[in-house]
Amino acid sequence: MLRFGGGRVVGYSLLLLAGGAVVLLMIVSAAFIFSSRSQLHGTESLRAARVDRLVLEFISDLADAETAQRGFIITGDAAYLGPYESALSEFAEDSSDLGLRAAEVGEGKAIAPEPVDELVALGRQRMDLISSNLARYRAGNFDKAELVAAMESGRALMDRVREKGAVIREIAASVRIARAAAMRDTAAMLRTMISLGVAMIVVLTAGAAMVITRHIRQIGEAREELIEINQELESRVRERTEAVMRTNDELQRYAYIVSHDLRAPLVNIMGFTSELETATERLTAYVRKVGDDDDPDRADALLAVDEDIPEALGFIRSSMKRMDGLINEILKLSRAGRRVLEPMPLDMQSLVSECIDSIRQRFAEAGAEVRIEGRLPDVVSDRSALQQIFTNLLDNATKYLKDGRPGQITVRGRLERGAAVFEVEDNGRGIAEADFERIFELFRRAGAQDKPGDGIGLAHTRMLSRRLGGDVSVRSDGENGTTFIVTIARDLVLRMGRNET
Amino acid sequence: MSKEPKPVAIIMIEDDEGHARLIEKNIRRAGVTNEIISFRNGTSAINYLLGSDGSGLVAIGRPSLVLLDLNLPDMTGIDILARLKANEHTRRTPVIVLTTTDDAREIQRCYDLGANVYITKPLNYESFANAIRQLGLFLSVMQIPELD
Repeated sequence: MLRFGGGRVVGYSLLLLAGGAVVLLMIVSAAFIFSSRSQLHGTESLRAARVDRLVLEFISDLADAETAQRGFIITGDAAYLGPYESALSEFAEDSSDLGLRAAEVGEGKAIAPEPVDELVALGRQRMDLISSNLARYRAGNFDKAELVAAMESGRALMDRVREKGAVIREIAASVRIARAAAMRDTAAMLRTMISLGVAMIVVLTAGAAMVITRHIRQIGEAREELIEINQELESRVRERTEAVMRTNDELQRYAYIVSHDLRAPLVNIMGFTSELETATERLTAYVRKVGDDDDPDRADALLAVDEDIPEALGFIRSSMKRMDGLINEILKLSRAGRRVLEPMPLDMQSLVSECIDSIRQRFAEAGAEVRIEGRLPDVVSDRSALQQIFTNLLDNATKYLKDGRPGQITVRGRLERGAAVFEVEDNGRGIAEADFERIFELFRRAGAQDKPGDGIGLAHTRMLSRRLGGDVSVRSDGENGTTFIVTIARDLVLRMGRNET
Repeated sequence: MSKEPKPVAIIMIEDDEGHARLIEKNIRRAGVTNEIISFRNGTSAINYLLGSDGSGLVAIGRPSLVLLDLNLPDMTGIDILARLKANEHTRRTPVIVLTTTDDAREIQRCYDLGANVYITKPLNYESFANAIRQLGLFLSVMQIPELD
């Protein structure tokens, strides 16, 4: 019948959603990792650059000091001593900086401390030489040859400084190149990750769209199937109802013909019984008047006219009367069954309230309480048939209460798939299960026969509920009350279709 | 009216022998002495009323009154009523419908077709006899239009 992959589709959708979330999370964390790695590379690169610059400054400090020394020695002008002092102090600063900064690069692993220490030592040697030259010059015991030798050793020292400096700068440069390359790689990887993520999101979205589309198509198909099934069901219900209605109609016609034809002979029996009575009266008068008292035949004749004939006539009359009553009931029933139904929108709440009001006197006499539970559903049906049904059921409920138990009668209703279901519940004496069908038959009654009734009401109720496209049934445990359940078509016009109006 | 009117014949169409007998008895008891012509089925009654050719010419100069039961073995009384009221020679003939049902639609149908009186045969014999006797009184004062 129905193929409905709802659960599976939901599962797929959830899976896709989870997959999407995981991919996004991965992209975000990769971006985070790569960007922090990039930052590290940048920092390292900057540090290496700083070492490079410090090396240059270190050398330039030495050169400045030398220039100042040379100027002073050549001119004897003390003004050259100012730049020398400042170069000296800067040299001290730069050489300690150089050591610190070089140790920072690659956490001290990129640039070994030895070449830096050597450079600083060489520089310091050079500075010491300058200051000793200056000191000797001031003291005046500084001849030309000594000066030349000092210059020479200074130049050689300076060359070694430059050499060492170049080595360190090279290391720093290689660090920067390596870091730049690492940064490029990181950026490339980030790009790859992002494109991969985008691709996966596209795939997931496409998958989700596919699943949803399929789901929607399935829902559409299921709905169409449901509509088809509904229509089939509806037509089946209509066919069944029509069949029931036809059978009901036939029964009605049958009942009408039977009662009609039963009545004709009855007229004769009644009529001729009266004729017989009249004749008997005459005969009685005659028998009393004439004849001999000693005649034994006369005594017999008197007995016949005084007792036998009146008794027979009495029985004939009472039986006739009963039969007449029964035929009249069948006729009434058949007439009600042939009445053309007039379906119209009905407010059941007020209809049932009216029925209750119309026999309120009966409730009062029986000491019964009746109430409508909740709101009764509205229907499109025949007013008078429904009034008859509820009046019959309510009347029955009051009639068969249990002695010594205050009557409680409840009416309730609900809708059930194109049908309206009404219940009339009482707490009366109940009905034995064996009698559940019997009570709906014409002239049949159940339980103690202590109440007046012909056994018509429930037969009538059944006939009417069937005509209204439903039926009536009973529920009882046999002692604590009875519930009659009346089912009728919610919309009689719809149910009757075009067959009947 | 210059000449003595012809006596009106009562034409009773009733398939039930008992009913026919009871009706006749009670009409007589009411003092009606007109001739009563009885038919047990629709066909013979129609033959008599409209003639074997069905033209109705036989009815001319033959004043009559029809007592009609609706439930006949060969046709319904409604058919007879319709044919009588459709024929120009018989349509003024009074028709009294006597039947067992008091179905409102049936009664209405009969009056629509031109029935003059509709009487339900009550099961209670007293009222039945009474109804027939009153019918007898009614018949004795009723003027039957006559065609020349």
